[in-house]
This record gives sequence, C-alpha cells and structure tokens, in this order.
Amino acid sequence: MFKALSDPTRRRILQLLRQRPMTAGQLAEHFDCAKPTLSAHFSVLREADLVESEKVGTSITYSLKLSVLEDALLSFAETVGVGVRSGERLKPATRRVK
Amino acid sequence: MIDRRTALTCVTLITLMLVAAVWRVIALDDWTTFTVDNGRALPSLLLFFFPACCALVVGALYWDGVGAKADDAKLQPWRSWGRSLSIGYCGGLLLLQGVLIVGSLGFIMPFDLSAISRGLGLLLAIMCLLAINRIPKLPWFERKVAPGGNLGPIYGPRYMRIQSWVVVVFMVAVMAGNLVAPRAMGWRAAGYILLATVLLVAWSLVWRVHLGRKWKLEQVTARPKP
Repeated sequence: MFKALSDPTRRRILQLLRQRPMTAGQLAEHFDCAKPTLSAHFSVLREADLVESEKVGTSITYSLKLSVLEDALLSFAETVGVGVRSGERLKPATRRVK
Repeated sequence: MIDRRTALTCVTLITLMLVAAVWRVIALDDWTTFTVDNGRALPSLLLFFFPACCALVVGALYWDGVGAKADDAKLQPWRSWGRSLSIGYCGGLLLLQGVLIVGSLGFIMPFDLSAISRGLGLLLAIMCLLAINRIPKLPWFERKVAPGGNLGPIYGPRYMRIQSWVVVVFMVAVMAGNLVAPRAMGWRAAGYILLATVLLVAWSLVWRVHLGRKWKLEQVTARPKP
C-alpha cells in the first residue's frame, strides 16, 4: 500500500477517482505517459486493493476503494509530496473530463 | 448488514446479558443501585445499558440489509463485515457487563477489575474504529427505502466515504476526550456525546437528502430531450 501511494502518478489517479469512477481512457486523458505505463500503475493500485475495476463492454471502469486510514495517508503523502522531485511540475489533478 | 444466523447469535448474546442483568438486580438488597469493587455505587439501570446498546447496533445492522437493492456478490462483503462487527461488539459488551457484575459480588480479586473494564472498553472502541475505517472499501448499494432516494454510483460512494471519515474523527475525539477527561467529570460527558451523536445523525440525513436531490437533477438534465 505504501509503495502504491509513494508514486505521484498513482496518487493523481486516486485523486481523479475521488471525483467519480472513470474508465481507463478517461483517466489516460489526464496523463502524458504511455498506456502500458498507466496499465502498470493501475495493476499496482489494484494489487494494493486501493481501486476496483469493472469491465463494462470494451472499457474498464475504475472506482476508488480507499479505507479512511488509506485516504488519510494519501492526503498526507500528497501534502508532503512523497516521491516528487524538487522542481517537478505536475498537471493539476482536478481537471475535469470533457 | 447481517444475515439471519448472525442476528440469531447476537440475540442469544443479548438474552444472556439481559438474564445476567436481571439476576444481579434481583439479588440486590436495594434494586436501584449496586456497588462495584472500588466501593462506588452505580445505578442498576447501567446493567441494562449494555444489552440496549447491543440491540440498537444489531437492529441497525439488520435493518440496513432489509431493503438492499443489489446482487449477492455485492452484499457478501457487507455480510462478513457485519458479522465480525456485531458478534465482536456483543461479545465485548457481554464481557464488560460480566466484569462489572463480578466486581459487584464482593469477591477479593488478585487483579484490578476497573483496569480490566477500561482496557476492554478501549479494545471495543478500537474494534469499532477499525470496522468503520473499512466501510469505504465495501461496495456501495442502493436501498429500497432511504432518505433522499438513490444516490447513484458517484454520490453514493462519496457519501459513504465522507460519512466514515466524520464518524472516525468523531470516535477518535470521544476516545481522546475520555482518556484525558478528569474522573470527576463522570457521566456528565455522556450528555455531550449523546448531543453530538444526534447532531451527527441529523447532519448525515440532511446531507443524504441533498445528494439524492442533486443526483436526481443530474439524471433529469442528462436525459435526451424529445
């Protein structure tokens, strides 16, 4: 779980999922990285039991599965900036899906 | 949410508590009060407080599952969660009541019973805290009868998550307050806790209705116009 929360990209995925469940495609719109990289992030989050995936037709919908303690740890890691190198800029996670 | 078998187990534990309380009260000279090991007199009604708390919690958990609109796969995690919580809660309170009754019998004990009861109370509170901590991990399901109606897949999990957050913070505050508060405060703190609980329930209901309306409005605006 700590490994899953230590990566800024995975934390951004969780923050996006806080707003609403999203498909893999909708989530990918918020990131510049390649789809296989994102899939690897999704599988780490799934293994840590932080997200739940549901296959609907051809797309996979991800939804948040955080306990209160995990949610608090996510907020803490985000505030402290665990895993973010100095000077690194991240796109805001609050961007809405078109 | 609990299944019938868990409910029956809990009812058996509650019956045991009631029998123990009635037996202790009948054996008293003065039915209104009983004396615990440190010489403190407590109201006899306190012995019925434990089964009442259990009945409230088990009843609420059972009622939660009555109007569930979901398939069995979604309800199964809720049932196992409810089973561990309800049996743990009833068993813990039965032990606590047992310690209180043994303490009132006047036996000379080699250990401090009040310390044991405080430890049991703390363990129970931690168990409840861990159970509530897990709620947002459980799948959201709609109920047939609920204030505000359906919340949908967006507002339902959000409501459950934030409500769990609030309850955990509230419980931590109550536990910290109980540990820090002077002993002289006694039962006066219970009144404040009760008031805060009522306010919490009222806020939760109002917020649920608000989210239900929001979801309904979104459904109406998303519907294609003819």
